[in-house]
Amino acid sequence: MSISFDGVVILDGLDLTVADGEVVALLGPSGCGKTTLLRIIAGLETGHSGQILIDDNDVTSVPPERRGVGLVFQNLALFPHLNVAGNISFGLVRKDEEKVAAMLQMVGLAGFEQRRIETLSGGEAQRVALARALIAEPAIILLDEPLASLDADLKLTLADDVRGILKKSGTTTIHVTHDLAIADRISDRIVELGPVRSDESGG
Amino acid sequence: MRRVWLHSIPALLLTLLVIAPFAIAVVRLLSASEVGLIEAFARLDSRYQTKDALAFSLQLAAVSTIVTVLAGLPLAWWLGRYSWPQHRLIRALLTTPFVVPSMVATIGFISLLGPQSWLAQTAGIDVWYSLTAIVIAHTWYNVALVVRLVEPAIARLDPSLEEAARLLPSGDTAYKRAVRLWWPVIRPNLAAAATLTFVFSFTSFALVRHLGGPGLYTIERAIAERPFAGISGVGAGAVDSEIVLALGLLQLLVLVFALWLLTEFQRRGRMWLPLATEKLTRKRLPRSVHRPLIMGFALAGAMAPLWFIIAGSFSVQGEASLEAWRIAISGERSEWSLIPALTNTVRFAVLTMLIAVPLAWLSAWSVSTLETQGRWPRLYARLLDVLVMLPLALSAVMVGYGVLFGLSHLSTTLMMVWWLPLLAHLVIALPFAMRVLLPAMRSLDKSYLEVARTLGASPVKTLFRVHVPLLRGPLIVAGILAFAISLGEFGATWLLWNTPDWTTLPVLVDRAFWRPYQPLARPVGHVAATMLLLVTVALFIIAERFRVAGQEGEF
Repeated sequence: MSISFDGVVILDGLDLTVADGEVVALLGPSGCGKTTLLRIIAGLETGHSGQILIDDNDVTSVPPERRGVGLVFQNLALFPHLNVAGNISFGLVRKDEEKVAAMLQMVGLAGFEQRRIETLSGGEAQRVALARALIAEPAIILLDEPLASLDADLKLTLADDVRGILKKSGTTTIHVTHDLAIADRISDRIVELGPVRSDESGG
Repeated sequence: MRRVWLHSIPALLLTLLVIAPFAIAVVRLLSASEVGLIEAFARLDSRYQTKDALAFSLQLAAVSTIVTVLAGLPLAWWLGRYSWPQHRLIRALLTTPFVVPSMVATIGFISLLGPQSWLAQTAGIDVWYSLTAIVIAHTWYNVALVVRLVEPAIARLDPSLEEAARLLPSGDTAYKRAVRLWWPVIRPNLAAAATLTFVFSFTSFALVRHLGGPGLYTIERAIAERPFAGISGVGAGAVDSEIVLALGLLQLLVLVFALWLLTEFQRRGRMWLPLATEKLTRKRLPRSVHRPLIMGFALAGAMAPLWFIIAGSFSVQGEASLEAWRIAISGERSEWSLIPALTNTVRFAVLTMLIAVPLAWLSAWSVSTLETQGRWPRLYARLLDVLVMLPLALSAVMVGYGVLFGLSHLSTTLMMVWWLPLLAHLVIALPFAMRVLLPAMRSLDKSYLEVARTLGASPVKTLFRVHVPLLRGPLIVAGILAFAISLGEFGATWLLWNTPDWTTLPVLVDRAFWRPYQPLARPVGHVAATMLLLVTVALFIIAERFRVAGQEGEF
């Protein structure tokens, strides 16, 4: 995978394989192309070279809405005009209150259906964003530094919770962060991205 | 660039609506004129109505701008700086004139300054048919613009900046802070307000037509009041053609230059300033008499013409009476029944809103999406932005001529279709709707739309369940603005007027005021103006409720 913007190379010859159900962290400093890679995998960035394969199917030219990839943005991007249930059920074809309730149970927010987004704490909002991405049962979920805006103590507690939720759902996950402690806490494997890119565990 | 066809729709429609009619109009006028363009310019000086039109237009616009800035700046400063009792109400009253339709304001000033007015009859102040009368009216209109654009810049600047300046030698006096801190802060918005005041004053038509009397002709009035205008529509004589062509192009040049200046001011003045809420920044009003006194005088001035408009509808030949309202609503005398004109006005306004807002949305979406992409999409986005804003450089009368000559070329039967004025209303309303939607779309966090797509939402679902709800406020403001502009549109509709199907309330008010010999004419004109005034003010109040914080410095 390679991509450049206005002549500046962002990613060059990156090759990454993630096993089914594995949680992988991409670790690297700001500006090393972590977010760009996630956007390419989600289909939000075009104009790159290389291929994206999900379950051996080439999805490189499939639009984001049909890729089956869930993405949790750094700013979470929870819709302010919808309540918690509205946000979580956004990705469902049909309304399914039971499924929403079960998902809220899984992320530890049972009974939060009618809460407005602006009343949630940072940790609660993070869990809602995760639930919204997971409910559509994506083949792969991408997390773009979703804990970045939280304070240090909460970050570590929530990192454990996030790992628990991801493992319970069994969803393949790519998580980008610049924080080694968080990467270590959430992931099965860490891949370092940087000026000289290398795959730390050789995977 | 997958949706190339979608991005090309606004450019295509705008070319058909604006560029093509205007280009055809220029070609037709050139061929109808017996002399070339240079000769046409040279001959302008030899005719009574066109002799000093350019000089007078420039003089009127310049004087109006200077007086407006001098009157508006202290009001904007005091309003932004101090916490007034009933602050919101004062601001609403001061900015109301900006949304009053020009023809409505005109009759307010006829009642306030005209030969029959209290000022002329009792106080002996006679400014009728003079530059002074028109400048007073322009100032009344545009002070609202200065307050609207400049006050938020003053009210929202983080107070720590001023506190820091006070502690430094270069800001230790009020004068130094005014020059080094406040002037750079307000300059971009003040320049924008001054340029817009110049443009509006330069192209003012209804006010100059009624307040300028037989002797004062601006370019807009001189080209509008050609003998063929509104009669045959198509049969432009050679003399008229060369006058319209030469003056129209002169006006276009001045307006393009002014709007270029406006964008330059905005581009150069754009800076990041730390902002705070108005509650934090406002100081307690000092205990002095002069500020409340001047503010009270300004409020009375802002409301006076509106009061005279309404009062005039309850008076027939100097006697208190409800006769004008009865005649206007009952339809007893068809020539003074307001119902058909009201129906036409509302029909045009609803259709303008329904077409202009989606078109402005599509244009704003194209511009905001493409301007962040590669070189060619960026270039296209800039061109599209200019194309949508172009009607601001074409006055209402010039838009009318574009529709008149540009479209009648296609088929003369088009000259009678009921929707012809609608095209002019659309062209005029579009840039305003765009100016509301584009900044809102630019500032919307794109991750909302992207996350919707990764959740499997189709572009249509993303549009209706995410994009539209998130921009509900600006959409409502844009809709109301388009509706209100069509409601009060006078210049183009008056020029195009061909059948009673096209009589709108502003046109009816104009007709009423050219028939002073009929005792009911003016009172019925006041009734029509009162209706327009009340609807526009109600719309203004609704729009203000949906204005997004941070967009106060826009229209």
